Amino acid sequence: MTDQAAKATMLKAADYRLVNLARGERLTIRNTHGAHGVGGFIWRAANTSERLNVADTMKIQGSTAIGRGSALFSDMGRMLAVMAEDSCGHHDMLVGGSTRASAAAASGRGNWRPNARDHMRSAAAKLGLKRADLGSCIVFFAAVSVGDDGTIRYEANRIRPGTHVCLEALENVHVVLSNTVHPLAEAQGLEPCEVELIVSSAPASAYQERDAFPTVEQRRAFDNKEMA
Amino acid sequence: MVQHSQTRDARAEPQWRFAWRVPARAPWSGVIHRGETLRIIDLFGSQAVDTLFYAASARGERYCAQTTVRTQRNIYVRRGTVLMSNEDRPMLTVIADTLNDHDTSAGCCSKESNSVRYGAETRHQHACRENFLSELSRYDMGKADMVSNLNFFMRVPVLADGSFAIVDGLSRPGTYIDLRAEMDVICVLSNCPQMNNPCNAYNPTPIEVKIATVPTSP
Ligand SMILES: [Zn+2]
Repeated sequence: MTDQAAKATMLKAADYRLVNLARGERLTIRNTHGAHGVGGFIWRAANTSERLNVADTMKIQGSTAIGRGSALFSDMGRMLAVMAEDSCGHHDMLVGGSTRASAAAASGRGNWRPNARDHMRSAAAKLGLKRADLGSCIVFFAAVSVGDDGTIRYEANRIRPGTHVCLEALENVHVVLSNTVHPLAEAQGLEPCEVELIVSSAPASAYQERDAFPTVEQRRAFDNKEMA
Repeated sequence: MVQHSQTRDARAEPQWRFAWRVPARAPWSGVIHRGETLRIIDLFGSQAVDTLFYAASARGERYCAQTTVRTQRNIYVRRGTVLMSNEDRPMLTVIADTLNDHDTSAGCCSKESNSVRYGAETRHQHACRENFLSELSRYDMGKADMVSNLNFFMRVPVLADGSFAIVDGLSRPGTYIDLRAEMDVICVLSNCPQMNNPCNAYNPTPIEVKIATVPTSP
């Protein structure tokens, strides 16, 4: 397989994007300016009732921290995508994206601002889906720590400009990305900034073979690919 | 002395309008009206109870784990936690809790995730997701209505390095949690049948659910 010409576009601050990826294609998010959060949600194109399940993603891989080589699991015991590259190391699945309430609180005057939940609802609607078709989401480039007592904190200094993540699709998927800051960063007064999106075909070294996956759980999920 | 007797009256056994023993491995659902209290009792200890809530008036509004965590700035559910909806509204408040630190991030077990976590030979086993789907169908709801749930009486600590694993339950026989409804809600729960990890001490047991017409605590 040859690496075809990659398409790069800017995703402006406070905007969202719906990206269709065929199995094997890659979506790279370049966080050039150090944005504190890009919300993401994924549906399987062949059957949109199958979608990102962050609980299974954390539980199956035994960690709230995902990074290079981690898979994003659906609710059907399958991997929708794998994080083929990650130079950031901080992604949140416990707190999720901003909402009308978090945005209104952060604005200080109760004003409406673009937020991840509204973005994802709009994206879902454009696929003919409803609010019920959205579950808990992932926020890339967001550093959330958990204390012994369960307290969550935002660690702003861990997010640096110039990092990127790359998702490789393992099924044909719809991905929505919301370029709005993580709600805990929003509460600290941090503002969104543009990120670059690049869609490309996967290199030959990609994760389309069972043996490419390091863990037994990922290999079992690979075996579920052909199940109804 | 008068003060004392008033306190005792306030703590008198509440008026339960409903009580039901949910068999091991079984689902249950019911409507809790605003101002009423739902009590869930772990009768025999160490029994996970996977639970979801829906607004009775508009079922697209439902419990949202991430909004709940964000709002209280803590990942555990305990006395004082307000369970939030996907419309940023309070659904229920934890007004009594004899355990504390219930999970709401690890989701429920399913045949599909069992096949991944424990091998294809466990796929035939019953799972919470099956309970949820069959119970939700009675309200004309389905898979899209299933989201990250509450896991009452289940502990999933997050360590400094992000590790995340279900550990032995600390819940003793008779442990309970009381939730006051802030809106009319449908509760759908699964008395977890999981046999492959310690969430049910490898022995699923019955639980009891009760509904009181008033809050059971101030
Ligand atoms: Zn279960």
